[in-house]
Amino acid sequence: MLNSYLPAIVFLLLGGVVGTAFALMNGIFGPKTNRRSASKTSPYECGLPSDVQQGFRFGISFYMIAMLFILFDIEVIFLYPIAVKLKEFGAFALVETSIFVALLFVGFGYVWRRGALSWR
Amino acid sequence: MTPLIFFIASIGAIAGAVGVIALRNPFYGVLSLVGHLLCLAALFLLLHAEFLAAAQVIVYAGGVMVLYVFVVAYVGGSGESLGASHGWLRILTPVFVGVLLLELMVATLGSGLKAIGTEGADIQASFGSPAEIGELLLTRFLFPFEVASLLLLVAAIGAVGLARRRSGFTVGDAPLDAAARSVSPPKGSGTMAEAAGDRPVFGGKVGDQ
Repeated sequence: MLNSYLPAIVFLLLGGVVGTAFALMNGIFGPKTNRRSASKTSPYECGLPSDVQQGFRFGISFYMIAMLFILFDIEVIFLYPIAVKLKEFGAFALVETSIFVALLFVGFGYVWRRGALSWR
Repeated sequence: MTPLIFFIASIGAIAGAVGVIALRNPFYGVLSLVGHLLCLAALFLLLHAEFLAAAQVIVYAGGVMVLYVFVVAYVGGSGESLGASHGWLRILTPVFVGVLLLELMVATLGSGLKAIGTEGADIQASFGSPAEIGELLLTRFLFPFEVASLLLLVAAIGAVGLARRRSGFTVGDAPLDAAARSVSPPKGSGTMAEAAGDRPVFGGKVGDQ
């Protein structure tokens, strides 16, 4: 079983080795002066002066979308195993899944109706 | 090769769990938890539970952790580290942790000692495959499966309810979108415009109010 994952393991190892190598080379060959100067430790934002002030907080919309994403993410995860067994169980599986999805659609409708999906 | 990966993943999982409670910076704590969950996914893979491993990475390491990062960013990031507990918490915490540890040790020793000298858990080739999980969901765990959708529904309604309270709107049942355009949220609600300082806020400037 492990043989089928060998390419993935090699890929992970290679990624780790290359990443570590470059990070180390940076320390060895880079200029040694001003290791922790103010400009080096400040947040980097595409080379422009940062627009965001200290104590920055994300908008509430980020949390709404993230939370709702996870809820519907979990729903979809449930559908995968059912889909594999759909042919075997036939109409029964379809009805059960329909109830499952219908209940979540009620939630989806509520969320939509309340305007939680529109960006504020 | 399998024992090697098992030990690497196990040590990684334990190190990640220790990191979550030992690291004072909450961002590093979340990162440590991501490492822990990835190691658990590797352990699932060793148990032939590919679907579970994928779900673990997609839902937990991907989705839930993003929310954790958001929450950490909201309640205070690297600047404020978690302070030491005080008062009766200082006495109660070790008691609770001790009891929990004892219970876990009894459970682990009880089942673990029996497994010594055997071939380990009896795992069929189909164990943990989507088909196997689907069959279980449609037979043995049909009721929990249906209840899960109800739970998700309640969670969705709760999320919207919490967000409404957080933004300070009390405008009846009117869609929030319309309300948001007419009423400015109170200071500290955490809108993007507020974070940027001088950007327009809901059709006006910050200085307008």
